[in-house]
Amino acid sequence: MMMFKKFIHINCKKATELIVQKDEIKISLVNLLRLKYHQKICAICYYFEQHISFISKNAKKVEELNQAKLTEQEKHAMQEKLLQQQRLN
Amino acid sequence: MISYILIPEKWVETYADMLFSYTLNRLKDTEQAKDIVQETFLSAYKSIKTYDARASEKTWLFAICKNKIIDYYRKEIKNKTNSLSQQELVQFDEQGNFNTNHHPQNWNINFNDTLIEKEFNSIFNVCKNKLNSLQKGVFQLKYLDDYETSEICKYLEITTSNYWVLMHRAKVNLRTCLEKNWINK
Repeated sequence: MMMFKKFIHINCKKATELIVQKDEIKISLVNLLRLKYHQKICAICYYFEQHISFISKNAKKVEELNQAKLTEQEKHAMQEKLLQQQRLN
Repeated sequence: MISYILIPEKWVETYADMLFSYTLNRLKDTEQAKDIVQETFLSAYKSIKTYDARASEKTWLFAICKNKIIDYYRKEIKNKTNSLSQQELVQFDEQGNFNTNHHPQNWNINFNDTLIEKEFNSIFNVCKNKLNSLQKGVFQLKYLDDYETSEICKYLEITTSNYWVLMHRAKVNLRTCLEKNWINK
């Protein structure tokens, strides 16, 4: 029994690493068992998993809000450098 | 078949802003983003002869820009590989358990509410910009550009375990930031 516990026991940091991997790829059966066992006794890692899957699901949906613009001056400088390049050729 | 043409005189006027906001969504540093846009135009000009007119001018420029962004991160990672595993996460104690003030909580929200979604989007963007440069890079390549994990490792020349270190930190930090600024605001 002690051996089993030693084998199956993981800490929260390891559990969160497995959750992050599980979110993208299939993790090994051994690691899946470790994670399930950990989450049976650790509610916060259960919440952690909910939050991570929420984040990845919505990360894809989030439109690009950042509509940053360059100043006219900056664009002018870029144009100048491009013209220089043209003259060199 | 449609054949496209290039009009380099109009590039800056037409695409500079688009490329800049595209790059800034994938990078942390504004000055670096500007440099990448400039380099995109210069490289594009140098490779005009190899343009085969099968992709539109816009698609072609964005492809060059995307490569520049990946090049940037590849270099960044090369410079920082040694420090990748050194920074510790504040969320965990020495035994690897969650620190008490970082316990994930029950969020208890209705995710179907459109108001919540709007609010989430803007806070999410703020939180992404709080990640360090490499964490943001890997996260955006994965979720904005939809690359496979193996592709990201190949492009950035990193091992899978380096990838997981970065992605784990990115997600742990994003989660903490969302809980602090959105759930518990």
